[in-house]
Amino acid sequence: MQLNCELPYSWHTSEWGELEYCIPYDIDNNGNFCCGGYIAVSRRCLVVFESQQKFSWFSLDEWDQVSCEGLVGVGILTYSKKGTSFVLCRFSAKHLPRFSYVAKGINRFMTGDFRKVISHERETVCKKCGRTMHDTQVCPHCEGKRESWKRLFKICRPFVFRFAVIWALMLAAAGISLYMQEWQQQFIDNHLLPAKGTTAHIFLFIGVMTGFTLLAVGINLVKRYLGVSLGSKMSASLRKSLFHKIQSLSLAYHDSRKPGDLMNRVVGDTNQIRVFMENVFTNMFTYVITFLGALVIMLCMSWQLTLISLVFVPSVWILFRVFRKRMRRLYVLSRRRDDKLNSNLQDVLQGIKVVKTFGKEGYEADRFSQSAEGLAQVQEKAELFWAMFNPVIWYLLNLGSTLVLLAGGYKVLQGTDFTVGEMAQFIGYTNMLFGPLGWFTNLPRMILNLRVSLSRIDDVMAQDEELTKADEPCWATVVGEVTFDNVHFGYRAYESVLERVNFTVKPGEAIGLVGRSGSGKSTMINLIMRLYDVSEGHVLVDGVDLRDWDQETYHSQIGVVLQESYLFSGTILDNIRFSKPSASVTDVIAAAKMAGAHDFICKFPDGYNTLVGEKGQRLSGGERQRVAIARAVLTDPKILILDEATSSLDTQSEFMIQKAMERLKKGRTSFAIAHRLSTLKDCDRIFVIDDHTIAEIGSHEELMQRENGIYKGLVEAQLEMHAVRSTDRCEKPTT
Amino acid sequence: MTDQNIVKKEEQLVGDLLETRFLTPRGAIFSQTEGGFLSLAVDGTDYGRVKVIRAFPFTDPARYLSVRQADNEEREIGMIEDLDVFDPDTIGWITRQLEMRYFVPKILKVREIKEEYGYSYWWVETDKGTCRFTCDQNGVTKLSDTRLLISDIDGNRFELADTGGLSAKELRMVDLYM
Repeated sequence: MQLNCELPYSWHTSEWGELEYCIPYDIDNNGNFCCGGYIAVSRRCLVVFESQQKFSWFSLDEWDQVSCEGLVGVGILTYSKKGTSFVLCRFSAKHLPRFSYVAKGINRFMTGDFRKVISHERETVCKKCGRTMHDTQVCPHCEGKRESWKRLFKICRPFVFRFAVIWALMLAAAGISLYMQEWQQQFIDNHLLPAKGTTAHIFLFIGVMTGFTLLAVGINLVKRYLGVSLGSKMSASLRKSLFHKIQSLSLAYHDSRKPGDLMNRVVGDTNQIRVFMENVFTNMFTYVITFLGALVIMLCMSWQLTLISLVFVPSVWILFRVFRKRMRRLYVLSRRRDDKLNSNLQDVLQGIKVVKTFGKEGYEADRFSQSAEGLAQVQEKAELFWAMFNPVIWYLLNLGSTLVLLAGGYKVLQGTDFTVGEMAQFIGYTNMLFGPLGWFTNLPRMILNLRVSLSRIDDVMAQDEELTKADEPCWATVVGEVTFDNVHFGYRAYESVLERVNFTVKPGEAIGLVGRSGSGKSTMINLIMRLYDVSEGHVLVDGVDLRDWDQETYHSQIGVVLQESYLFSGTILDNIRFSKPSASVTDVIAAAKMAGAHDFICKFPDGYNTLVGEKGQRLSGGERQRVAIARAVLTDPKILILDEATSSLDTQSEFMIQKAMERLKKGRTSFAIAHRLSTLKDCDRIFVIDDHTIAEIGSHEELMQRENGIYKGLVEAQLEMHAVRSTDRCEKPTT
Repeated sequence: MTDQNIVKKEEQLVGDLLETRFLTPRGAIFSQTEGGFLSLAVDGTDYGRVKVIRAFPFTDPARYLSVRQADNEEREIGMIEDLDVFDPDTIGWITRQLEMRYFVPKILKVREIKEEYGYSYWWVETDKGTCRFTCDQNGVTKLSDTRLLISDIDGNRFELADTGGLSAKELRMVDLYM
């Protein structure tokens, strides 16, 4: 993202210092849109330009802080001076990230830190044409065209032979339909007209025509079959590579996308390519060749008649274009209403329990009828329109043939060299000309659809994997020493979550992480798991930077249990084995025992073969969690990560799991996050995270001895709450 | 601390959270800070700079305003049930804060809506000036049968107060997104 735009006004470098940041704002003091407003910053001062003449100058020395506040549909940049805030400028939401970065930069300058803030976020608007690149990396209009054709070509390459066959068939189909007219003409002129023909001739004619028709049907059948199978193969291969790519992309990418959107690309957009290959590609050349062929032959036969037959082509073309717009509008409308109806229905069915308990069936029924009615109205309109429009078009087209009949008939009667057979042939070609016309008007839209899908697929495929791979990765066995060396991290560059984090954890040490929600505990764990890469500094495991470890080797040696464990649909055995498919049954049982899961699993009628259902819903929360722990320890990980692993459970399950985990932690480096601090009492050391960094380190006892310590405060607050709860419970029966 | 004291303390805390305190001209004294923001003192407690938030920004923008502290926690100090009971100066200051916080231009005229590559590009006249913006598929929210809220991909918002006031041509363009 650009933070140093070109300032259209003059800047006095000698007086104000080197220009460091310059960005536009677009709302003036009265709250109206404006253009030409700029904020320019040097190390010493900030200038708000309204225009060349009108600007206000501020010295950074006098300020305490600058902040960028995001409001509703607007943001403001403020500075505070002796505790009072002042507004510098206002801007619409699209400039918000830019201002956040610059505010961070200005604050750095004020503390004497002259490093420049650099934004790695990309611009979301195409510089050339202004179209949005919200979910694509290149502009779909300027760059995308070339890219998407290249992509299509690449996809097609493995299927070249099939393409050649289909092309040949298309050519043959076009040739046959063109030649059939010629044959018919010969028959009429040579046998019917002079009345010399015999019954045998008629049978021959019928036979040949039937033969041609059958041949055409056969060719079309084969062509269609090849087209369908080509389309399916291409979309399947695309789908596979897309899925592969999506899995390899970092979590940061997945955070920024909705799962539904990615699903659409894997399923919907690849399907679009199949549809194109089946419906458009296999017909395209047949139509083009028939159209051109018919036109050439017609011109050769009689250019005057050709012109007459074409009189209506422009008007039909225009009609098609005009009405298609309206048609499309109606169909889009009906599709959107349809979507709405579906989502309404889904909404109600999912919440059917709530609807019933509040007795709102009638209300929901009314609401549903309303949207059903709306859909019916639009659909009726669309179908009615189509029913009226279609005959008109066909009438106009046939009018062309009628005109040819009129002029051609006149010509035949005049006794020039134009025969009846030729006239019939000519009319045949005229019909061939008009047939694909409607189809052609639709072609640009179908190609556009294909291109949109291609560019959306291409966008995922072109995505860089944000986590870099080492040139010579480390394949070693993890011992379990974890070091944070001056780590800085933020999900977005202008919002730091962790700053200056330094610590070393010895192999086998049990660490508890404590801090308010949002303080960065889970982020720290995400960094240890290498779901994200640090912005600055290093995370080292056994003295090797995480970026130099081979990812799979490293990940296979750490075990993770999260608050809400995700189980895949399948059996308990499948789920435990997920971390190590090669594990023997004995290992699986050992892991389950360690996790305290063996007993309840054995009590199920189906034992380890019990199906857990989608997302593991057939198991209770505690059971799910214990299966997840078994999954985590199956690989005998050297580093164990527990992020609120027991917080969603009832007291008894929590106790069971705590017991299990005490056993597990032996001989492994472990990091545990827990809100209930009592569960962390036995950790070797506790890290208290506050204000983006580690505020306190020590064992439970050490930290409790600190006067005014954060940890001590948290423990006491929890004890109080607990005391209140228990007194509350005791008092209730008497009151 | 005895148990009973703790219980009392917690009850007070919960009470504060549950009780709705309405701010009236009798107890609440608003003033304007030097920098043009709003500050508040209630019954002698000075809160410094405060934020004003609409509880019902669409259905009741001038009533039920939540006044909150300007720090990160944003705890509610109280609610203004009806702005009109305050003196004109206060009304002016609070309105200014609201205008600063809620920037939702009203669309007066739709010049063009173009759909390309899955996004719709709008060109409109608003009460704040001419504007072009880009929406994705879910940009338009129906607030009522004739009132639309349009959110663009950057998080800007626009209001179309009454679709009945549009020309037939404008309505045809907008209709696709309703």
